[in-house]
Amino acid sequence: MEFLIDTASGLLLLLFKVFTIVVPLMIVLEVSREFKVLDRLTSAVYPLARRLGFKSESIYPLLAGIIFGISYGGGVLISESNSGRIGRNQMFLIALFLGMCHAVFEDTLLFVSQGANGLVIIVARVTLAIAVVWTASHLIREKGN
Amino acid sequence: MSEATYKARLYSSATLGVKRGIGAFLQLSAIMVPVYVVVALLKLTPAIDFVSGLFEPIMVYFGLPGESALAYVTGSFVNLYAALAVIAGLELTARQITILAIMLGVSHSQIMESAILAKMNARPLWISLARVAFSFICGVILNLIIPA
Repeated sequence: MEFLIDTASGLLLLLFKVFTIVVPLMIVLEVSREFKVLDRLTSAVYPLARRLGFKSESIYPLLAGIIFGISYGGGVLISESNSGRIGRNQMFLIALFLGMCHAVFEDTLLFVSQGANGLVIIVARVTLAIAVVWTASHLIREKGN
Repeated sequence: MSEATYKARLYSSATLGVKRGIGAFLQLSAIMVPVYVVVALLKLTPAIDFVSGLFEPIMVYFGLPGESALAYVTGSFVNLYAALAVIAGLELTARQITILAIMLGVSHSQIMESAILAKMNARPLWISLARVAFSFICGVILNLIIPA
C-alpha cells in the first residue's frame, strides 16, 4: 500500500513538473514562430557564427535547432538540406553543433525541475558545442574543402 | 500591422501552442509512466543494486553513483523524458543531476536523432560517436571542476 502511494505521488509530481514545462514552452515556440522571432535573431548571432565557420544561410536552421530542438526544428533542418542551398560541410557543422547543443531551454528546464543547476548546464553545453565546431571547421578548412 | 490582427495572431498561435503542448505532454506521459513504474518495481528487487555495482567503476569518473547508468542508457536509447522518469525514481544530489543533465544533454535519443541527421546528409555515425565521446569527456571534466 505504501509502495502504491509513494509511486503514484512520485509519478504525479513528475507529470505535473513536465506539464508545467512543456505546455508553456510550446506556447512560446508557436508564438515566436508566428512572429518570426528567429529571423530577427539571425542577424544578431551572425558575427559569432561566422567566426565558427558558419555561412549566413546556415544560421537560420542552426538557430531553429538550438532553440526548438532537433525533432521540432527537424522540419526546418531537413527542408533546408533538401533545398541544396547548404553545402555538405556546412550541414556537417550544423549537425555537429546541434548534436552537442539543441533544445537548450526544454532540456535545461526539465533537469532544473529535478534540482539541477540550469546555468551550469547551458554554459557547459554551449561552450562544448562552440569548441568542437570551431575545431572541426578549422580542420575542414585545412583539408582545403 | 493593425492592433486587431496582431492580437488575433497572438491568440491563434498561443492556442495552437496549448494544443500542441498538451498533445506532446500526452505522448511523453505514455513513455514516462511505464518507465517510472518499472524503476519503482525494480527498486523492490536487487536489480538496481546489481546494475549499480556493475557500472560503479565507470560512473565514479563522472562523480555519479552506479545506478545513474540506468538513466544514461535510457536517455541514450529512448529520450530525455524517459531518462527524467528514471532520475525522478533515483535518489541523486543536485550536483549529480547537473552532471548527468549535461552528459545526457550532449548525448540522448540517439536512434531518433540519428535518423533525422541522416536525412540532413550530415554523417550521422560520426555525429553519434562524437556525442557519446564528448558526453563522457564533459562528465569527467565537470566532476573535476564542479565543487563537491
